[in-house]
Amino acid sequence: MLERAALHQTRFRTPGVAPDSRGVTLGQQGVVLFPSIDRLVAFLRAYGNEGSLDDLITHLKIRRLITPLRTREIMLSIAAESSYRMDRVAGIAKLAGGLVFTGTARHFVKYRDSASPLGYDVLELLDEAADMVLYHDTFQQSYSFEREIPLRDLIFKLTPYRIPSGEGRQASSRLWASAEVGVGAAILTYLFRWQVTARAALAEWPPESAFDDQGKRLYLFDMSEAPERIVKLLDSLPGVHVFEPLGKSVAVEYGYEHPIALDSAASLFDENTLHLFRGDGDVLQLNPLPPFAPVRSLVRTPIDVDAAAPTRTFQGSDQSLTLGLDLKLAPTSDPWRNVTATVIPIAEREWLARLLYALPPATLASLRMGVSDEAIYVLDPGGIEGLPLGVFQSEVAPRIYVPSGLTLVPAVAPAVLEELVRDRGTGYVFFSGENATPVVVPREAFGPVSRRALRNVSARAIGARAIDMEEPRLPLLRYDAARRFPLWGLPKEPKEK
Amino acid sequence: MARQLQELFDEFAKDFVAPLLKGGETKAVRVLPAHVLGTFGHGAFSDTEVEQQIREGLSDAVADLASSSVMPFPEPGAMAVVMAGHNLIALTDPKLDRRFARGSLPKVLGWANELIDSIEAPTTRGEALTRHALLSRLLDLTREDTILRSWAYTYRFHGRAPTVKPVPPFDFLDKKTTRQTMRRLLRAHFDANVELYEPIAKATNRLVTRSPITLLLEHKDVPDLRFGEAVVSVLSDSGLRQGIIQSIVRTGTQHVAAPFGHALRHFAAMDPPGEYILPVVAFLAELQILEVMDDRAGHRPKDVPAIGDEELFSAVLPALFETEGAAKELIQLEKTDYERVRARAAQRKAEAGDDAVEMARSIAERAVAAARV
Repeated sequence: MLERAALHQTRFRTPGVAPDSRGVTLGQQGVVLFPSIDRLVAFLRAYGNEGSLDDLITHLKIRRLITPLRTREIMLSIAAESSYRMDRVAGIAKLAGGLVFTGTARHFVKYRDSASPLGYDVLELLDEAADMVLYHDTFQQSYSFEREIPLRDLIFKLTPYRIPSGEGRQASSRLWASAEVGVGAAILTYLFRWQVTARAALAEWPPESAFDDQGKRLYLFDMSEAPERIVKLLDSLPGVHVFEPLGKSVAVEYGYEHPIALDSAASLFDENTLHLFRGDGDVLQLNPLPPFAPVRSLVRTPIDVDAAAPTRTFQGSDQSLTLGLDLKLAPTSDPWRNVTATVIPIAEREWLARLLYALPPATLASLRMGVSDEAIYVLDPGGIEGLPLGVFQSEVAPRIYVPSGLTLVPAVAPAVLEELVRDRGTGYVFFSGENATPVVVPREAFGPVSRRALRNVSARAIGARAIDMEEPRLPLLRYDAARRFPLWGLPKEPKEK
Repeated sequence: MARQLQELFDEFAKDFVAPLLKGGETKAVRVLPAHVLGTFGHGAFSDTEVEQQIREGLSDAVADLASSSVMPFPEPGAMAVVMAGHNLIALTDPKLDRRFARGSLPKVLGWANELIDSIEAPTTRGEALTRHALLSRLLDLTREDTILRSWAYTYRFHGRAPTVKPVPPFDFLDKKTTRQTMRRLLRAHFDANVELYEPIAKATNRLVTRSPITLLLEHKDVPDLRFGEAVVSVLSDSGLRQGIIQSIVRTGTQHVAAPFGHALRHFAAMDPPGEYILPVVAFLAELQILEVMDDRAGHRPKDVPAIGDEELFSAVLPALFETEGAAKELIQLEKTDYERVRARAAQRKAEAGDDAVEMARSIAERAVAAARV
């Protein structure tokens, strides 16, 4: 019934197929045939778990087919797009028990497999009045369309299944919950008392039939970071259902999982509608979403206006109040920031000298050094890590340094600190010691390391002169000795044979 | 036969080519038949010292122009240049204009023309530089003429050392020594071979056209200068182009406008592909830009508007300022230099006139269109 497609084959009996860029026989559509709807669901679930159903949804159609002998099968058709996509679909369809075909209009030939890597072509087209004809290497069958099954309807009809509790899944940080009106108010108070960040709304649905007195009303809660014990408590309450969101507008009941990965089919769900899939198969749709309010604003509080205590007016004292505090240095666990200076005790100058020999030019160029009788102050605006010596200093305010790992207490703002340290001019202030005694080093005392540390180098003069460059002399012509017969004795031109 | 050819090759290399390049006394040896080019073009030097002198001389001759790791010699094209030049130089010997020897002159000229016809366009930078090194030294070759006048006779020695001594106690009444380069001698009237003046000058000009670099640098002495395919190939080498431009600016740009404007006019009339036009436009533009940059340049703007070919040459620079695309890259300069060049371009536009600028702009736009593709 089928023949294998050959390399570089361009003419096919199957209408609407052609080799793609890889040479695989491909039509505009791909068709997967399933014997039953549960195989289709298995395929959709497997595909959604591995990839995204949104890629297929645009041109996806599910139809129930009927044969002339009145047997029924389920057909899924998608846009073929490329052989890469079809290969993925075929791989998953085989797992789900489906058969894969490709074609364009009515005739669909079996898609490639390991026996024929480039695909198949029919030997002879079936001339029957049918909506679709499928050609397989073991059969060829004509089908009529019975009805179409929208994917959205299929998803809404599928019932979520319970996940085993032993799996130890943690609830997501955000949860929805629906509660019957009778228990909703109590849950409001409960969430408020345990300081759970939550918002609440009241959702209403119109009555489903004339026999209903009123429409359905439910409390809806939007909870964030709810403790697990509260989630489990709410889940165990009758009339309360907790939902885990799977996207912007879809949520599935906590402890349940939908057969199809709903987050991979997000394009099916309207963003302005909230879909809550309950474990019993019921789907709550809220459109539009009701207005939410924080639970703390909805909790009932007893207020007795008459029994409220009167207010009192405070009167200031006439006495002036003074308070004198000294700045002190205290340890801090904050990470070190702006470590741009170091103070090296003068006793360690030999170490500094050795280190300066080893520093690279870039680090050396950025250092500025000031030397006093007690210490050597080294600054590097880019970070002093390149000079691991002395006590590192963090710049807490412009040109004001404290030892790294310590902080000034009380913790005053940098602007206040600048005002506190008076008479420093343009100098650099270094706090040290338990009493936080500041030391001011004038700006003029700092200079590049090369100026401060290196001794002058005296050069020894030697004599040198440039290499003499000679231009080539001009050539002077001298004729050869004059010959009476200039052409005599010259090599003769070889004669042509 | 082979030995005779090898001896002739060694004599030519040792006595003519090596001193021609290194300087000093260069002896014009026996005239060279055209058919020996096949042997000479692939010859091997017997004397390594001579070979060393030739190679050093070739490098020194073009050191100011451009560099090349390979300067092939002997190579058929370069050998034909120096052989043809040698034969033309030999024709300037007045001693050949005498009985029996006079009959050989047309044959020697024929050989020179045959050698010139066999020279193909250079295909590499090294080949172009080698030919220029040889031809420029040939043109720089100087002949010293001595005229000794005694009371009885006037002796003339052209290109030869005087062989006459005064008889004591008398001395020569007058002794005059003049020098002329072959650059002038081959094109001007000299003291013998009257009938060969024009053919020798024509052959010399043809020989110069076989070396594109020499052709550009000798622009004022070459009538009807054209931008041929070989010249465009040389100009498309940016290193060579810059060397040529700097050499022209260094020696003076007083005479560049007419020949280059004439060549540009004929070049545009041939409607060449755009990618051929860009090197020519770049050459003319960079020459004028360097002229502005270099205060020593001699091409001063004239008080009266230039006409004809000079007009078109002057129009190239202002046309670049009006052309978008790749042409603008030729005037990517630092701000003050850019202002100077723009001021000169405005001056040139006033000299050349709108028609010439329009024509130059159309040529530049064709080059830009090809560069865009």
